[in-house]
Amino acid sequence: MKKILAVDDSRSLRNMVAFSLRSTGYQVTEAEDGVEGLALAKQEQFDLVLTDQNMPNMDGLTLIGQLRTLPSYAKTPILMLTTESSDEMKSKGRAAGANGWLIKPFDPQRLLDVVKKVIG
Amino acid sequence: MDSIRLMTLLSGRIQSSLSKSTKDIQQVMSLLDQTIDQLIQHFLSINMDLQQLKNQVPEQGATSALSHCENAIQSIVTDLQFHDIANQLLNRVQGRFSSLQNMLSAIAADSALMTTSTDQINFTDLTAYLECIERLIADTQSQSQNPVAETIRQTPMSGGEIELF
Repeated sequence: MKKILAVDDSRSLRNMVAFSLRSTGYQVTEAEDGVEGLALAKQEQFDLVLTDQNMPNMDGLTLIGQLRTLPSYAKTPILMLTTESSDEMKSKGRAAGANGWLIKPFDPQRLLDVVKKVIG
Repeated sequence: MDSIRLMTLLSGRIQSSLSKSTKDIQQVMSLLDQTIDQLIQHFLSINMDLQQLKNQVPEQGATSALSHCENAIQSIVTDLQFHDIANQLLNRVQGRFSSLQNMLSAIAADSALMTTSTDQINFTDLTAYLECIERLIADTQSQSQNPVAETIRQTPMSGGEIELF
């Protein structure tokens, strides 16, 4: 079973991500900010990280930067799932090491399609 | 002197109004949190019932109704995300209110100093006072024009764009 880490400070959003992905067999672990996400990622190897950008304590771009310094996450797919839609932010995301950019609100079927495409 | 007293009075009134509005926003956010939690619980419960119904052998007429329900559930997953977007927008409004309150506090404090420390106000004092207000306004504007402040563009609750790098 593929393991996904969903990082978002909004509990309702995490609920919806987990609901959409668990129903098709993915194992989803939730974290409420970048600090918790990074700690969980160090404890356990995930196949995909889905992260929000604007979060307290540590934002998504910082989390991606930190994850990319870990050898075990050098090539792990990381997708941003955020309300941020500016080209400037997308460029920063790409530079930090994100593999894709999804704008909220997400359509569950399209999210699934992307996840399947990225990790199978 | 009268103009400074007027400024002090106005600052106090506006601050009081902003403070009440901030409390209203906090109450809205709290209500939103409670409501969305309940909605999600009901939503998950309905979905569980639906899955159980699907596992039973449905009558022929019920199959299309179940399919219709499943499509509706997919749409609800998108619709429920309004909570996250609404919260972000309300947080930004709170941030702007806070900046304005800080600015008004500074104006009120300066005005009080000027009205109590000297009986005669001169042109230099007024110029310095106006410069101080200009700086405060500029600071407030720069805080509210944070690069992320304009990036929530979602108006309809349809699925957002997806881009793989």
